[in-house]
Amino acid sequence: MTCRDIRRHLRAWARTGVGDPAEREAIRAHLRQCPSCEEQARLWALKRVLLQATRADAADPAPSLYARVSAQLRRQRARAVFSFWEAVRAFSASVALVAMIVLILLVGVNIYVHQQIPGGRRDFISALMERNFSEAERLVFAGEEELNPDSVLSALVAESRESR
Amino acid sequence: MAETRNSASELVPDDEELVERSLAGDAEAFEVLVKRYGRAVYNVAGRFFRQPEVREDITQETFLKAYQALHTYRRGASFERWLMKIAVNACYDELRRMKRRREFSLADLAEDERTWLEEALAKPAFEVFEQQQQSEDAAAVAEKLLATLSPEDRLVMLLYERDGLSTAEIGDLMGWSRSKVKIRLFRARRALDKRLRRLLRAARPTSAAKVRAEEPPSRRAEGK
Repeated sequence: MTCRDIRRHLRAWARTGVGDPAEREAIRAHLRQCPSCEEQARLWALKRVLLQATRADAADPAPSLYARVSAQLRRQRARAVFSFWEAVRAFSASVALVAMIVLILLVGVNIYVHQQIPGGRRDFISALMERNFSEAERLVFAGEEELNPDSVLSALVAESRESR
Repeated sequence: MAETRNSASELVPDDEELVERSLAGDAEAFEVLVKRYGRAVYNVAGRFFRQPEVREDITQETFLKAYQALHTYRRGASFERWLMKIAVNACYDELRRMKRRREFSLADLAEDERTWLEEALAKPAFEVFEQQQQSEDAAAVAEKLLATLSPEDRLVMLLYERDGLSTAEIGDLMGWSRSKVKIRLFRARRALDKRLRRLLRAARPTSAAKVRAEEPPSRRAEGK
């Protein structure tokens, strides 16, 4: 066998362990007289021994492990039930939040629309609605064809001028 | 249909039926699966970790993940194989959590570990190949050496070089492409060989170790 053949076998041994007896003797003889292959064999042999040592022997786990796993599974199931109620709660909270946002928007729009009406006239109309009309005033208003804010404003301004 | 008879003529539900019952909310059905495969999962964890507490944690994590992902199990496939994939991936996650060593030199070895290494180097390579006996010192040296590899390289190195899995099998277990496994394997071998060569150069056996290594084991025992 050539050095190349020997190394091919050694590389395979590093994974699978020493091969059949005929190969073993040929390789053993070669390694005795070839320092270069012996050096390479040492590296692979050591690697094999070290890697094999990392594997723990097959064993049974401690009986307490099964109890631990069972307890964890129970906890996980309980969490799954809990998370259902969590979801219900989250849904209710979202509905309440959306309702609140809609309410705020409605109030905001209402305020905005009211702000579009000129301030002076709005205040005047409010004052007008609170006022107890006298009989004379009713007569003044009754003369108008249409009782609208502008005509009322004009009538009251005229009345104010007259009273001065 | 989904049941077999054991020697005591009792009906034993098979894996698929137990999965279906678990999915339907039968808590005990999944615990039967835990008892059935607990040892197998524990020993898969033993391929990567020697400490019993780490193996137990991984076993627990594997079953919790399997329970959460039970709806992804495909009817007709092997439940054991599906579970082992989860177990190997849980080991991989643990490897990723572990702190990686930047460097490794002879100075990082304890006295006993160094002695073990020197004795191994004093023997002809062929004898080291034939060595069957495992030693705690060898495991400790290996642990320090492998801690310098990335989690992917370490996993591939152990599954391919030590356990003899093919690149296709590793790819299937991890959900990686074959080319990714091959690249990882190439890098892992190169990195490990480089560190091992450096270690071998630094740990040239002393003459005392050579004498000890050449002595038959019976003589060594008498000497103690």
